[in-house]
Amino acid sequence: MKGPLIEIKDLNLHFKVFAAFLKVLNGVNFTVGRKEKVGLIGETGCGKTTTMRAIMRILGMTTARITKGEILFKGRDILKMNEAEVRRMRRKEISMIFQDPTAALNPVFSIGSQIKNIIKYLDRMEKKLTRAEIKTIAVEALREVMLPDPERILESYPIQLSGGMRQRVCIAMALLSNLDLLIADEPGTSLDVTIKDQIIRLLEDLVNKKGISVILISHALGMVKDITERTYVMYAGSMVEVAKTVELFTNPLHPYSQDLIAAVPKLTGEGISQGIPGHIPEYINPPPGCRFHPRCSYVMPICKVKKPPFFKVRENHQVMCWLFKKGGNQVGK
Amino acid sequence: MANNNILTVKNLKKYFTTGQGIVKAVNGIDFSIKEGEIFGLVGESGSGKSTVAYTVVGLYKPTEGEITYFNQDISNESKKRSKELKKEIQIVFQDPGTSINPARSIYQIIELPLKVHGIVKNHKDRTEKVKEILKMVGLPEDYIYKYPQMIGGGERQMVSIARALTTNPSLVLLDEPTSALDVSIQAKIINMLIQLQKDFNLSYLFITHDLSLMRNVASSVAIMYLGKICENASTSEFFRNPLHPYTQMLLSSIPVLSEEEEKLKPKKVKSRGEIPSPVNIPPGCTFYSRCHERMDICSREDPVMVEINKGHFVRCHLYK
Repeated sequence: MKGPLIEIKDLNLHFKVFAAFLKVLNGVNFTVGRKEKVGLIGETGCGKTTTMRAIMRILGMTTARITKGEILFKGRDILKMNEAEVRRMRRKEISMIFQDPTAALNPVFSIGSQIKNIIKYLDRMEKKLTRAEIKTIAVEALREVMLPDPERILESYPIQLSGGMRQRVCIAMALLSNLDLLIADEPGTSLDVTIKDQIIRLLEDLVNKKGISVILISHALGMVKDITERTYVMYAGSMVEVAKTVELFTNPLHPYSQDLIAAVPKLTGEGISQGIPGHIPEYINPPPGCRFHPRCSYVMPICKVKKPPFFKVRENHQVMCWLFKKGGNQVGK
Repeated sequence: MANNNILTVKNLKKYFTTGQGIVKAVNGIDFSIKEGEIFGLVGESGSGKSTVAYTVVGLYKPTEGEITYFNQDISNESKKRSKELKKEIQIVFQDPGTSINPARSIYQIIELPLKVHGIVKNHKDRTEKVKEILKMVGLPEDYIYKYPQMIGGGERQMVSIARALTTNPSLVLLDEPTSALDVSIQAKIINMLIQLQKDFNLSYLFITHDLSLMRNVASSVAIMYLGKICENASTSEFFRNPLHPYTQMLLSSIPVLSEEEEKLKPKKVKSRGEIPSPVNIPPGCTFYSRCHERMDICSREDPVMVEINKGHFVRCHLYK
């Protein structure tokens, strides 16, 4: 089958709070190709997780309203699927790993019963597995994520495992089905740097081996650089820049991307940048035009009235900023 | 002997008794902070770095060892310390969401230390002083009417820092002050902290798990692992020549953005294993189970701290 795996077109999403609407997603355009590893970066509250939740359709549908746009998964619109189709998709095709493995596992059931339940649920449509077969699959899954002594871990409870081991269990659970897309929402944030390194290498090996597409959301920009092929920068509900990962980190164009990347402390120790002035806008009444304009040091009159479209600066490098209207590299680094 | 170290810690131990046994959170560490210096303490979670800060500020009573502030012995709990001393040593906690009272306004939060220490007696002057302190950390004056939940995480941390600075301390303990924040906000806070340090000639004990941040902030660094310091050196020396196997593993695990940074990392040391439980630590070197250069002796004997170059200490059998 041709075409991208996931394609989000002009997605707008509001949350209803009391009498007002939080206009969170503001025209998100996002694609992930088959077997492609895509990074997604931006400050807290930019709508990264909301976008991913929209893909999985796990937003609270009583408050979240999708006002415009579509999410095409293998050419089918996820937003138009019925419940049974969505469940099938979540079960078989898309999986998610969360930031905090402690919250993702149920503390009152053993690891074994949680994994076995997933396996049972996965094969309900097909043949019936015996208990011994289910256990073999579970042990195999844990062995795959390099957990020592899987039989013992099946009998333990989440509290008996360390943070790193819990995250490995979550990865094992996510990869149980033969999926197409794995969404990793800050998979290492709550872990220590050496453990994070192990988890990320493991994840990379597994997705390469199985040929799974990955969306990696992370604040650790170095980690995104190591793993992904293409990276999106998100700000206040829109993708503001997309480029090949290496190019984005060496030559960011959008003023926001530049400030964000400059704010990361460097090992070379040349000091720390001033950060980005101001903070993420309120979503009840977001600034008109480009939502970054109140914080931008290159602001022009047009930025305050009209939201810029994506300008293609180079092959595979698009940026949503009026500075690049005529193309070319106008912002000096 | 004249002592220009603002803080000296000698053989500090802090044990906790739990149902499973004795947790040796801090197990004999030595370090000293010069006046006007930013001293970095780095370690994974569970290595005991926060316990060190809490013991220094007096939240815990040390099990053993000596803590000296200039020439004054302060190895006791805060309730046994004089108010004068408490004024001099202040702490900023990691999570401003839990370390400041949500039911108090910013004014009340910053006013309290002024009242307790009797710095400004008059109510009207106090309001002025609070405004002045807010201005010092770059917050607008009208924030005195706000409550913690009305402001962002970064600003809350600024309030927390402002509160620590109200008593005009000489030593500030910063326990991961930016780990809960975005990099863009982190940059702002770190710059402000460095500026304040210069303006008031403060000394910082800066605790973090982020080595890249440490590189930009601290003038000397100590690496902690399972209750012990395994390497201690000036920052430039440390990053030029990391010696301890754990330090090498830590440095090579950092994801970096540019090629220049990549060159600074030691050759890839594959990270393996996890920090063991601090209950019932096995004999020998605490890092034995994860070390890539372990030898027979490491499982039997705990190495002692040796000075390799001037001011560069390492605790490993490789460097005898």
